[in-house]
Amino acid sequence: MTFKDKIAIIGAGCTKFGENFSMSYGDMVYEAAKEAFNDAGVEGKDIDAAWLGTAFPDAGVYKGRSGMDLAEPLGLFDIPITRVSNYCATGGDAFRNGCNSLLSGESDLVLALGAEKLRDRTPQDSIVRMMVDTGHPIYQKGFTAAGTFAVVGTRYMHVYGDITEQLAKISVKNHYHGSLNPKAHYQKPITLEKALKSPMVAFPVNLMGSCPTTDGSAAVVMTRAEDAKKYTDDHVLLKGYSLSISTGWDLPFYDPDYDFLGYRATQVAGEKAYKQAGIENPFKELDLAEMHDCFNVVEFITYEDLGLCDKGKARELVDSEVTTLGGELPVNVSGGLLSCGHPVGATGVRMLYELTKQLQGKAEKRQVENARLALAHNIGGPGAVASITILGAR
Amino acid sequence: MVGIVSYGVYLPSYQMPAEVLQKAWGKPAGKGTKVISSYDEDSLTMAVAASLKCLADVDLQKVDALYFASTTPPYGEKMNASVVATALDLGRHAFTMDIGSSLRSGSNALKVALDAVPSGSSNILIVASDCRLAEPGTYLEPFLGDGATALLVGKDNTIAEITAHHSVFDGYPDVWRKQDERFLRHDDVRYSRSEDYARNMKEAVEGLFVEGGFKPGDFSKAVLFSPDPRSHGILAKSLGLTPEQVQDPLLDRTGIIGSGHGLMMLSATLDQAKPDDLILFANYGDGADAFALKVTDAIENKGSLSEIEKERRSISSYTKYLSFRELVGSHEPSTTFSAIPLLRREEELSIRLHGKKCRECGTVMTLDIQTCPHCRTAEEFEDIKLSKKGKIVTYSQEYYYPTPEPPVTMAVVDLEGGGRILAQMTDSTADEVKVDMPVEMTFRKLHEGGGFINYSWKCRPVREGGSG
Repeated sequence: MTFKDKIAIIGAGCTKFGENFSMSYGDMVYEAAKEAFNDAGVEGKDIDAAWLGTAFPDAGVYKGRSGMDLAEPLGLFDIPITRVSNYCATGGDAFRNGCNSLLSGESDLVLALGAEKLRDRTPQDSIVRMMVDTGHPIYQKGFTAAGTFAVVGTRYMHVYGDITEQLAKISVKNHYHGSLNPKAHYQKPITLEKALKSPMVAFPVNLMGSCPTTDGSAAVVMTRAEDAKKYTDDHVLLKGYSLSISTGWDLPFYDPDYDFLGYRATQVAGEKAYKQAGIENPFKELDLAEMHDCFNVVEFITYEDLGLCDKGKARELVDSEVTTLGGELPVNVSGGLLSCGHPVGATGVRMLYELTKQLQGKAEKRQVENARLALAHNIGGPGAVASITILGAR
Repeated sequence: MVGIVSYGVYLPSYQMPAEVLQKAWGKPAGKGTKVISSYDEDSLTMAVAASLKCLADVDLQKVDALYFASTTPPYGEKMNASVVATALDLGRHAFTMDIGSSLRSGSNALKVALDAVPSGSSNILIVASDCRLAEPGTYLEPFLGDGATALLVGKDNTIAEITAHHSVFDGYPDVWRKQDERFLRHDDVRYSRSEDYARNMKEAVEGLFVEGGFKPGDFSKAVLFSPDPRSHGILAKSLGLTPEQVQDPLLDRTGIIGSGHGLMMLSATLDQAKPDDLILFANYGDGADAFALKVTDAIENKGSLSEIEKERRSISSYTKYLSFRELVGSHEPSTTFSAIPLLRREEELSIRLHGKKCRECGTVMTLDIQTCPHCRTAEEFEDIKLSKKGKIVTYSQEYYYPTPEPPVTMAVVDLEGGGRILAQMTDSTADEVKVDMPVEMTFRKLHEGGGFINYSWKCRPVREGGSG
């Protein structure tokens, strides 16, 4: 079955990403949804099904454990709402489920919203401490989230040579992009020297190579493509989407088959989504991509996993600066997770917000010229689950 | 005849040279160096390390008892020996027991084993281990080291037979610590040298001479535990022993490592012993235990001395030492989840270090898993024992994981003979870690989630001195 061009995003909204100390989980849900509703020209009462993406409700005040935390702030009662949790692919998966509902005919107008409230706790208490305090008492004790991805960087460098400078260049690029995005957590460019000298978090990932702990919410409103013109003439179309779980939570570190040189989840999800979208040469055909740069090494490795270059050649892609705004395939023009931050469940939907704005030509200072085809990628749970969404301009 | 079948000494890889103490306190702190355990070691983990050395060439099914001797067992209630036995992967039939309270508990264990072997036990592992703590800056501090010694006692294949024994007890304290105290106290030093140490040791050894009909000159070596070099010399002389007969008490090499110290000195003697040597061994603490040992033809000098002499890292500062002992804080406290039902379910994997080998494709898994990730065959695993040696596939170095010694290296290790494991690395510096580096597994404390001690295996660089 092909899904190409059957779903339209008719509205998108996003809160400021950052330390939203003055906003509750409900405040952020409300703000992101309201912007998306206004953008689509719909009201909450028009929505007939919704998906809520929140990965870690326990990091805060237990908001986001179920669909009711979307219903309450929006007054969206008496409709089906499902909470989705799939680590960093949570937002993308919320969107995918919404699309499936439209395709099945269960619903006609769907809201997919991601939200995460992390900064009611100290950064160490939320994501970093999560691995210290929770989880299996033995299997990954000693790791932080950064380390679970850093091991790929270490092995990659052993096989393909040092990439310290290339990782720093990704940090510089995404902080430059973030400086162009008024909704990013960090909006200040950094120098290569600062990126290189930044303190280590989990070797070989340093502080400037790590996303901050951030609050935020993002939302998109979707309908079947044939109904889109009832609401707007400025919609974007779904070209392909996929989700792949390709290993487990502890398994990658204990699986004797794993080479630590890439993420199979991204590779599998990418192939599926390209096939749906009819993409044969992603580097040539895509106009921009949002990639899951929770740590700079993940963006680096994703270049290869998504087939933008050959295995072992991502360094050349970085050095040639083709992924910087103005280059042939700009990556993370929003600033990525490194600048926007990573309110986990919101991130995937925030990427769809970015792609929508870009494909509509409304991305202002960070607009990619003639953006027609764009990809969003998330990977989470030590490289276990990946979500890919490809959107195209009308 | 009952005797020692094998032995093993473990001394941690950290040392505190006298200069570090001297610099910290601005007063003389003795000479030489003392061995100190790392933040992730305790008397229980060191007992495992010493036992692994002792049991390197022993069929574990033949070990039918384990006595853990310590004045500093990590648990006051809950048996410590049973944790050691689990980590050693002993059979469930083994009889386990803690022997404690006294500095003499190591030789107490030897005496109990000596009595138990003739009445049915074939091989008894005794392991004496201690991390005794002096109050920072006090008299005892420079003297105390950490370490463990294990002896396998049995009646077959002995390297030294125990031919005579004599003990005395003493009800008055010399060095002591009440149940609710963390630091050792001590009596008037000059008084305890003569009235506690010299009197008790002399009485036990002279009793042994009578029991066995020995003369001082009969012994090729005399192993006399000692609280300090001076008392040691005076005692030897008063017993009619010549300086050549006397085993070095190793005080300025290791510090007094507690209940395992006398046994370590005995191991050092066995390292250089020849068949038919007669050894005097006297251990001290709340009285004294004296033994005569006759070396057999089976003696194979095992190299405990190399453990004593191995290269150690000096602790970087006295503050670091205090943080190792949690006497100053070094990181934010954490409340790590743990659960006994979970740990018990996964004992074979996480503590006994067994793996699950897929009967279909041969892949060895080290996780609690139901389906082989390689061939996807379900529920077809056979239990295999994993190697404790391997090499690093990749690693991260964690600067934000709470530890007194950042960064924590997290290493993915391919074990010899199959199985991949993720483990913290210990006893290493960040800059020495490399992909393909050979490592060995070592039993350590991970954290205290659940309010109890969560032990499991870490890895460490392979160094001289072998497994531990």
